Parts: sequence; structure tokens; C-alpha cells
Amino acid sequence: MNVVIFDRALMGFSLGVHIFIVTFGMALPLAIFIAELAAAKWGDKDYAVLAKRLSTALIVLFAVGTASGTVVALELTFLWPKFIALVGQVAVLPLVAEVFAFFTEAIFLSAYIYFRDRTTGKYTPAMLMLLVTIAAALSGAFITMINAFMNTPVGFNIPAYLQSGVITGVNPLAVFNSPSSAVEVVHVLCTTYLAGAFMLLGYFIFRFIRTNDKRLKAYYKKAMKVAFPIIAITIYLIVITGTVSLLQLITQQPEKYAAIEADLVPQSHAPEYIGGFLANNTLVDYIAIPNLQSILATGSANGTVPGLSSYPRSTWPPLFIHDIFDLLVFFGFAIGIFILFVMVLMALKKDPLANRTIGWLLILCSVIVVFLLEGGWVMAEVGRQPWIVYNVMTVEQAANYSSTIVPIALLFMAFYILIVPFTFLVLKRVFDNKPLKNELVSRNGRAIR
Amino acid sequence: MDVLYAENYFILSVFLSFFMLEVGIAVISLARYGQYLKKLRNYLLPIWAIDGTFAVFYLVNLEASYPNLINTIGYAYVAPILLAGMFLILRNAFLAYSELARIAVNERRFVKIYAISTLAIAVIVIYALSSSVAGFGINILSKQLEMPALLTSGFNVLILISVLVLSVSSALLYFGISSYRRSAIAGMMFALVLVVFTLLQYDPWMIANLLGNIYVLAIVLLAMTVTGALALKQSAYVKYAVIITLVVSVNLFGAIQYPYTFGTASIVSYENGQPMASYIVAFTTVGIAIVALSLAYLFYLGHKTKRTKLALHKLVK
Repeated sequence: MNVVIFDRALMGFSLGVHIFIVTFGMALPLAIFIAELAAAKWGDKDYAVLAKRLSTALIVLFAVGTASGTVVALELTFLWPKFIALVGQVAVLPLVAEVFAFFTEAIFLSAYIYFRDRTTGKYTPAMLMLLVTIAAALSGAFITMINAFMNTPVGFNIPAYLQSGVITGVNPLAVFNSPSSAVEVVHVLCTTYLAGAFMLLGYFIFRFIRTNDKRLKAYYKKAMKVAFPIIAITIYLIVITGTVSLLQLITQQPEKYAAIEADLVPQSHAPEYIGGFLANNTLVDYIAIPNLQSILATGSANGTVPGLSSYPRSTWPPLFIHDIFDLLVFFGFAIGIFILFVMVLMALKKDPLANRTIGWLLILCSVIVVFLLEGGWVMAEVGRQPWIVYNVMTVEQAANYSSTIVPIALLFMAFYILIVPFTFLVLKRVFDNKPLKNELVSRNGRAIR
Repeated sequence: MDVLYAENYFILSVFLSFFMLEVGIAVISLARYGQYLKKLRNYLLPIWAIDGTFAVFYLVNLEASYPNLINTIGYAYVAPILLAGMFLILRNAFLAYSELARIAVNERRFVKIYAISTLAIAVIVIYALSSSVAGFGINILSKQLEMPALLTSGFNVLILISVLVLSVSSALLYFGISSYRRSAIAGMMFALVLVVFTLLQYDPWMIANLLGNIYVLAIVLLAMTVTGALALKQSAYVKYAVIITLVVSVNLFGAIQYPYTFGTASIVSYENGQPMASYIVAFTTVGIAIVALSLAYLFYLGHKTKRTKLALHKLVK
């Protein structure tokens, strides 16, 4: 039995869970900050209650997210020791910086929780949450820089390393500015905020539809006003950064590009393939739009795009990432156009939720974006296979072959399957025990702060 | 002693000190749940937050300072560390659940699961760390743990016992649980004697190093004496004294271990090269300064809030 399969499975599973939890960990502080700002600026008690309730969820998800993040850090070290040894010598500074961003996040989150109801400063809770938001974003950015290093390694003499295995010519700061770093950081942050904000929006709309209480309906509408702007801004940034990122692949990781686009051979006048899969070294069951890929990739129908046949078969990523890409693009554009439609309705001073179908569609979108977020990561990581660090170290070379991993990996995955739903069950119980209406109106009719 | 080693051991000492307090809380919660819960609750979250973040800090600093060591520990400790990781999630999750639990029965159950997971992590971490000190139970050439030797080695078992005794004693003193004050002071001294006895029995090189630098023992004894005296006087400063004693003790243990790891391997040979090593020290120093400033702001807020409260109180009067 190949132990590397278990290494991969455990790492992928843990990352999948962590990404899901971290989505809340990054989007919630931003949403709470906006709510606190609105509460302070307009003295609106609904926003204050919203911030308080969201911060309760943040505490639980921060605690679980901290643990799942620690586990990912442990797994990186213990499942891929050779990879971390390389990172340690060449590209470790973002990890060191991330620890301090995380520290700052934890400190200001504690300050917010403790001082929120005690401080007399009108804007202090909002400012504390702004610092949490910035620290969380920096945390995400630094970790993404390590991922960018895996895609486009820099900061040492790679040819010398490949020849002798000895690391020389180290430039410790180069990792902060690897060729794919800037675009990837913006793309990852935007997708994370989008998914987190969408899940919040979906929850608020669901509660809005389910309640008949006018007071609660007004509250949920305001809650939607907090989540929606995040979506409206990030979704279009994602389209831009996603496109730039894809185009960068042509020069930075041509095999990944070719697999994503299902290009088996390099060609000009390349069509855009939609769907299809590989059978007997041929792409079958697809729709081709003539010339479109060449035009999109190079600006001209004559432009040549890379093909897998230019590279050894052993370095081809699995071709199923092409279908994942198609799904990402299809649903991404569909949701983008739908959000544009909702924005037009709002600009025309029409209530989008007057039509329930729009509400249910937005809830459906909030579920789909989670799959898109995870799918995007799967495409990016599987697309780099067989490399853990592109053209430098393969996954097989980096892996830990200890057979003790197998039972632990299985146990771990079973454990995650139980703990994540249980966390949301506990959160549900907490909120069920604290009826929203009681919080909205205190005895003197004022907001509880 | 070089800067990388000192910095790395200092981070480990902060993590271990707060973790030991948490282990003490876990034992007290299991033994006397209802009696001291309120007292423990006030400090549990900050302690949990500090040792959790310092654990990650230590791991990253270890990777950065000793990247060549990762290969050895990665292969050898993968199973126990992943197991500890699972307990870590359980611990964090159930601590958070217990904070929010509205029903006493649930809270009690959640705290117990949290405490048991914390103890499980403690046993794994202490075994891993003690085997990395003297090398009992690990074959660094084959990068494998020899489980029977690891679990039954006198060195590892005695270190585990002394750390657990020290953890409970420190927690009792830290939380001012007065009925156990004298036993706690005795426990602290017993832990120290047990560590010295263990070194004497199993690690002649470290005991020779200790006897050659007897000031190490003197400093630990002084710190423990001050802590004991403050505890007997029921001084509020005992909290600081406990933490300082733990941090100092772990660091001095590091000093007598230097320059070896796993008993006979030179730690210096695993160190990161230049210029990365200098950058790591610089980044860590700047990072610590940022964290210190953030903490200072936190204390300022606390101070300001207290003052505002006092002023309001006077105004109302």
C-alpha cells in the first residue's frame, strides 16, 4: 500500500476542513467590523446586536480554526518533512510573520470580546475589530505566499540545488515577491471573503424568509446589508485576479495551464474546450468554441497556447482539473451575473427579496460558493502535481513514508467528520438559547451593549 | 550558547510554562470540578490562548531555526504528534463549547472532555520532548521511535511524573487555592529533586554539566523559594513568581542540555545557514515587539476601563 496516498488524503482533508473554517474566521471579523461601524455611526441597536451575535460565532470558530490550523502546520511538518526542510532554509519568513499576525489577531480578538461592553469609546469596538480583520487578512496573505512559492519557487539557486541537492544563493526576502505571489494573495483573500460573506448572507436570507415577525425581518435586512457589499466588491475582483492568474500560468506553469484548458498539443487558433475527458489519449465528449482560447489567452486567434505533449507524461497533472475549471467558470459567471442583476434591482430602489425565488436562489448561491472555493483549491493544488514545489521537488520526494500514518489518517478523517457538524450544532443550540428578539429589545427598549 | 538556540528555547519555555498551568487546571478540574471552577475560569481562556499561540510559534521557529532537524523528527514523531493534533482539536472545541454552554450538565461534560484531551496532549508532548533531550526511545539513525523503550525508559517516565507534579503544584499556587498551599510548595520542590535524581541516574553528561554550572540549580532554587514565600504570604504577586519560576526552570534545563539533542547529536549541526538565520532573529525580534505593543495596548484599555468605571462610580455617588 502506498503511504503517500494517505499523506495526500490526510493533508487534503485537513486543508479542506481548515479552509472551510477559516473562511468564517476571515469573513466574520470584516462583517463584525462593518456592523460595529454602522452601530457606532448611526446608533442603530440592530447592528450592535448583530455584531454581538456574530462575535459569539467567531469565538467558537476561532477556537476550532486555531486547532485545525495548528493541525495543518503539524501535518506540513510531519507528513512532508523534506518539503518543510526546504522551506525552512529558503522561504520560511512568511511563516514566521504569520505567527505574529496570528498573535495580533488573538490579542485584539480577546480585547474586543473583553472590552466591547465595557469601553466608553464609541468607535473602540469597531477599531478593535478592524485590527482583528487586518491581522486575519495578513495571516491569510502570508500563508498564501508560501503557496505561491510552491507554484513559482524563488530565493535560491535552483539549478545548483537540482544538480547537487545543496541549497546555495539564498535570498530570504524573495519569497514575499515571487512571480505569482501578488495575484494569488489578492485572489485567495477575495475568494475567502466572498465565500464567508455569501454563507452569512444565505443564513440571513433563510432566517428572513422563515420568520413572519416584522421586527426580526427588519433586523435580518440590516444584516444582509452588512454581508452584501463584501460580495458585490469581491466577486468582480475575483474575475479579474482569476483571469490574470490563469494567463500567468502560460509562462509560469504551462503544464497546469494545458491541463486546465485540456490542451493536449500546443496550437494556434486554439478552441475553448468545454467539458470532455481523456480516453485513449484523446479528448472526448466536449464542445469546442473555435479560436476562443487563443483570443482569450493571447489576444489573437493566431496566438499559440501550450500543450501537454511538450512535456514528459510523468509531469502531467490529472486532467479532471479541466472539468473542475469549467464548473468554476460556469458557476462563477452565473453567480456574478445574478449578483449584478440583484444590484440593478437595488439601484432601481426595488426590493430583491420581494420575490422569494430571488431569495432562494441567493441561498443556493451561498452553498455553491463553498464548493467553488474548495474546488478552486483542488484545481490549484492538483494542477501542480506531481510537484510539491514546481520543478524542484515532487510530492513523492517530500513525503513521509512511515506506515504509522495509515491508521492515524483514517482516524483523523473520521474525527473531522464528527467534530465539524458538532461545532455547528453547538452554535445552533447557543443561538436557540439566546432568542434574537430578547436581545433586540432590552427592558428599557435600548440595545444591549 | 548561540542566539538561535536561546531564542528557540525561550519560546519553548513560554509555551511549556503556560501549558503546564493548563495541565494543572485539567487535573484540578477532573479531581475537584465544582469547587474551583469559577476561580479557574477567569484565567483559563488567556492561558489557553497564550500556550496555543506559543505552540505554533515554537513549531514555526523550530522549522526556521533547525530545518535539517525536521527530517528526523518528522519521520520519528509523526504518529504521536498527529494523535496529539487530534486531541488538540478536541481540546479547543470543547473549551469553546464549555464557554458557551448554558446548561450546567453540558458545561461539566464539556470541561471534562477538554481536561482529558489536555492531559492526553501533555503525556504525548512530554514523552516527545524528553526523548528528544536524552534520546531514550528514539533511533535517530533510522529516524524511528522504539515504542517499548520510549514508554518504559526510566528517564522519560520520571520526567513525565516530575512535569505533572510541577504542573499541578504550579496551578494550585497560581490560582491561590489556599487549602493546598503547603502541599503545592512541597510538590514543586519534589519535582525539582526528581529531575535532578533522573539526570543523576540516566544522563551523566547533563548532571556533570549541571554540577559544573551549579548557579543553574541555585537560580531555580531561589525562584522556587521566592514563589513559596509569596504563596505563604498569600501575595498577589505569586502568579508572576510561578510563571517566572517555570520559564526560568525550562530555560536553565535548556542551558544544561546545550549543545546536544537526542543525547549525543550536536544541535548546532542542524542549524539554519546564513543569511536566513539572521533574518529569522530579526523577524522574531520585530514580531515580539509588535506583540508586546499590542499587549501594552490591551493593558492600557484595561486600565482606562477601570478608571472610567471608578469615575462613573464616584459620579453616581
